[in-house]
Amino acid sequence: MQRDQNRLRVNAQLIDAQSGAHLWADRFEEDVADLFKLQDQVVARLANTLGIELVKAEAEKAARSKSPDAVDLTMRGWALARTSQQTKEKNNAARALFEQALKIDPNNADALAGSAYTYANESVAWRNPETDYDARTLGQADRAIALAPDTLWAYYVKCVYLYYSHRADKAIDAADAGLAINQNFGPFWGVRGNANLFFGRFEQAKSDIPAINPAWSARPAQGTLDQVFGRCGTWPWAFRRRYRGLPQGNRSRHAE
Amino acid sequence: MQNNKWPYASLAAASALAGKMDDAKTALAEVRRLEPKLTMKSLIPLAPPIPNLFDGLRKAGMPEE
Repeated sequence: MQRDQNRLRVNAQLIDAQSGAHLWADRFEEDVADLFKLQDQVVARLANTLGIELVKAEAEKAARSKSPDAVDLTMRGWALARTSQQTKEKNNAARALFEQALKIDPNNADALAGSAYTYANESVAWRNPETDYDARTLGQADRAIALAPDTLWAYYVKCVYLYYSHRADKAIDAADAGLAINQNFGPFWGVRGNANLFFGRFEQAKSDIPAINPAWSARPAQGTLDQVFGRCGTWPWAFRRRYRGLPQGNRSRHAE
Repeated sequence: MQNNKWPYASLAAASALAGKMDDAKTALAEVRRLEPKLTMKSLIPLAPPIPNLFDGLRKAGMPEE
């Protein structure tokens, strides 16, 4: 994404994360004032390429917002928050974008969910003992849901964070709330499946896990937490490999 | 489910512990197909701390080493 005064240029490409194959690329340019038009163009062409309703739904959501700049900042925040090589610096930069967006539009649910996401990331990878992560993560995610009950990423942040902070029962509740909004979001089934396995509800886990739906991979999951609950709703293996500094309390707590 | 082995590992464990050994073997075969070298020893340091996952994978027949 490039911005020059009032022009915004987006080079978009779609890559199959499995094979690395280049599926689609396009360039869009528009006045920043016509941001919605630009978004609609990108989305319409992507939706045509992929035939995916989910993508259209995102565009409609953006069109309902009253503050295009907050939408712009939020989109950039999410792009940064979910990069494949996540670092503390990128996570902080993403948060700064979400906070800027919230200054313009304090009720932007996607920006609230985004900010919550950066705190959830931080709580796992770069925990700061002085920060109240429950308030920053759950508080902001709940506010996002109160403002816009279809903010899928807010439920996602909640269930990942709750599982990570040893509240698997509450993580299931959050996943169920998210599933009530969208049954096709694989990570929710992943949370349910693994939490039920943890609790010894094997039949339940056995029916949850296959519901992890690969259709969701249309929105490639790559960010830090996405590697935790990633494309197929798996558990934090990849994450553990990369961040040895994880709170080791997890292991003993689960072993109780 | 693309080539992500972990959901199959969870499924193999849940199936074995639910007493559905046929399903457990099928899921475990998929794990082994995706990552033939995976063993309990190599898996545990990377896996989530869910004791039932380990018990279930052992019951499904995942080799120790």
